[in-house]
Amino acid sequence: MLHDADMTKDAQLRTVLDGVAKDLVRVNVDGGFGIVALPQLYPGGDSVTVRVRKDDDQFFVDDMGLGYRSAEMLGGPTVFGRLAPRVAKLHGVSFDGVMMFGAQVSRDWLPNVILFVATASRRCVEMTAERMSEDVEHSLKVELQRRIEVIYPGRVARDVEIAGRSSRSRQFAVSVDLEGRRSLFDLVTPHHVSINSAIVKFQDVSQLENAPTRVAVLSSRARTDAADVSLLAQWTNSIIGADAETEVIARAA
Amino acid sequence: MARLPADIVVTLSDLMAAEKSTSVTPDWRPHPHRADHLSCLASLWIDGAIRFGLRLDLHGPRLVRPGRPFYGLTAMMFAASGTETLHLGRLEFDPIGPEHLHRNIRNSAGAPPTITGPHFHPFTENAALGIAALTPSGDLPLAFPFDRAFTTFHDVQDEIRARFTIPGLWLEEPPCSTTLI
Repeated sequence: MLHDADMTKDAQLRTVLDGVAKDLVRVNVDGGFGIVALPQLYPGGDSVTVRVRKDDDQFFVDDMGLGYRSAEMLGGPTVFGRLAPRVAKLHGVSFDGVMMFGAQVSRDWLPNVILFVATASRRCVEMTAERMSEDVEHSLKVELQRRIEVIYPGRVARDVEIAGRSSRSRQFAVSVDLEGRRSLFDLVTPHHVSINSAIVKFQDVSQLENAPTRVAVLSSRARTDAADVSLLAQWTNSIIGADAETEVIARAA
Repeated sequence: MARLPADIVVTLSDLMAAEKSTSVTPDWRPHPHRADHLSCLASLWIDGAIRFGLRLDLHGPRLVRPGRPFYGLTAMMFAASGTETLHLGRLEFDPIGPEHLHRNIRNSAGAPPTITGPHFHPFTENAALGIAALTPSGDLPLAFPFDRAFTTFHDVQDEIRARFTIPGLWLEEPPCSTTLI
């Protein structure tokens, strides 16, 4: 009797999990094309979906250009196009300039190729978003360096490395030498990696003998969490915005 | 306190007197250390910069008593430098506990010996006692009763704006002040 009860429990669980599997992966067939929506999301929140076409006894799988379109929505189709061939190769699929795809796929390999095409498409959009964020950060940093050079001509060094109390080298966007004392500026974005990195480096140099003046420059005042700003403030002399007026930058140095 | 500059009190006095602003409307969130409380944190900017980690910190219970919408609501201003935190002012709009009693033990500023209701711990009179009065253990020992009553959250907000010199401060009404138990 116990054996029968266990089997009933197993059968019930199997029914539940079969239902869950159907919820996770949605399938539709229309006009000779199969559409598979996978439990993956593009950075914009759209579901990653691939199309499957049967040619004789082989299959053709593509992402319908949805990755490219998601990158377009982010404003980065060129970046996507540049990254896509490498990402496709990494996932064992191909890229034709718009779509990620896998051709001449056997039935045995079909599940793998569906997953590879979907993952390559999603990953490429994610990398596009990351690269675009880095581009913005780089532009802001270069602009900050340029502005400080205008305020203190001949006294500014870009991308300097300073050894902190820990003896580890810490990189700062700008160093300004002002009659025997030094001011360090660094750009900080709202991303937690940037916040953590900035806190560590400012803390490390703040504990040096004759610690330099430390200025954190927020890429976005509105988007940086107040708790993060509060932590950052403990190890800096001042925090300013990347859009600060020239007098504010000069005062901070 | 060795790492703080010698003229820290003068600097803090200047910061207290200066007009401050927030970059966004601060929002109420679950208190990080007290499950039954909400808190609201805002960095304070002076002339385009944050100096000495100046921040406004409000907290209050998630649920309040009928007829006491600001029960437990407290607004504090802090400065921070390295591992040091300094208390620059505290406004207690409706102190928790029916028998809440604050005693002004080191009273050299004409404050009443005891206070039982809403009161504030000002910067100037406490800083005059020495920097130790501003530390977490000093905890702003001198307090004075408010000279007004707080009927609406606008009254509370006006008091924070005036006491901490943040004229443009705008806060959402804390959910606790609209919830009655």
